[in-house]
Amino acid sequence: MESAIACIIMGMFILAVTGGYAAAPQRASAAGTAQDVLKSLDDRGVLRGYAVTLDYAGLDSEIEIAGYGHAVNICSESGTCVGPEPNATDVWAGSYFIAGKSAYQPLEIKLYLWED
Amino acid sequence: MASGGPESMGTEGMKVRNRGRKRMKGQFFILGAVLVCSLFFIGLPRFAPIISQPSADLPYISANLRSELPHAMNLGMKESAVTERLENFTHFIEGALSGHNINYTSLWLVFRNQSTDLNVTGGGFLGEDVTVSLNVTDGSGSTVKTLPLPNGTIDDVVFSAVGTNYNVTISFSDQEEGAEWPRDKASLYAFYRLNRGDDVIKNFVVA
Repeated sequence: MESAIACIIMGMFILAVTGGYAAAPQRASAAGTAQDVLKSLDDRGVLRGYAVTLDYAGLDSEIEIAGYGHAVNICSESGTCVGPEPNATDVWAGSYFIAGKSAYQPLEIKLYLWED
Repeated sequence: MASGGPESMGTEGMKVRNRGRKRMKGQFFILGAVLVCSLFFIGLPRFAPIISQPSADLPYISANLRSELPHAMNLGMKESAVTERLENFTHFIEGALSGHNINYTSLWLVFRNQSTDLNVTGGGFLGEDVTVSLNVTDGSGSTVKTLPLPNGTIDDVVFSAVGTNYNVTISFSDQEEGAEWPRDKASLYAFYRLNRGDDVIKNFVVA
């Protein structure tokens, strides 16, 4: 009898945990949002100026997404990144690559998003 | 008469004790289940942030590379180091995407004039040796040349006295693409594959 109750508890726990996968499309769209935001900043001619000077705070100040917190990291060719760690437990990340602005300087710009 | 004496009372007592132990064991099952669930939820916030990068990001990265590869070539042309810059950009993207569990492989060809000749420089980074077949056609006819590109190498081939505008057909492995370009403008063909698990995107740039 008790083992049956224990099985029911574990079963409900597994259902609750795996039920989280139902949120997958939202996760995908949030990661896509991060990449869309970075692309639109590049299309507006805003992204590269901040990126090549490694001004992650300046770039972050150009971003406003209702309902989401965000952090920008700029990573150079050596793999060194500048910018704050994302301040949340469930974070979506989008990356955007550039070859440089007026001189060759390859960089990866990462935008982390989390729900406020 | 003696059968219902102290011996049978002892057996009854043991049965009661065993039932008690069984009940205790059963309670441990419940306690264990509750503990496992509680520890999971208590420990969850202590872990490092969970960063989601679903495979839906591959099309975004592909579109990004499609626009950025010509930019890498243009910056290389500006700095008179087109081959070096494209090779470096290839390795940069390979390294950065490996951090996203994406395997990036590519092949690129840069077409530049040397006076009236056409120089084609190729970089092969497809993870396998390939031979590129180039068929250049201008007003005076067509010429076919091959450019072997073992994996991780750069090489070039020259077409002599090409007209001011030409058509080129590029073929290798199962790929075949065509383009029409002015001879005196640097042009780029790049093919790349993005691969994460079962998700694969192949795309090319003609610029």
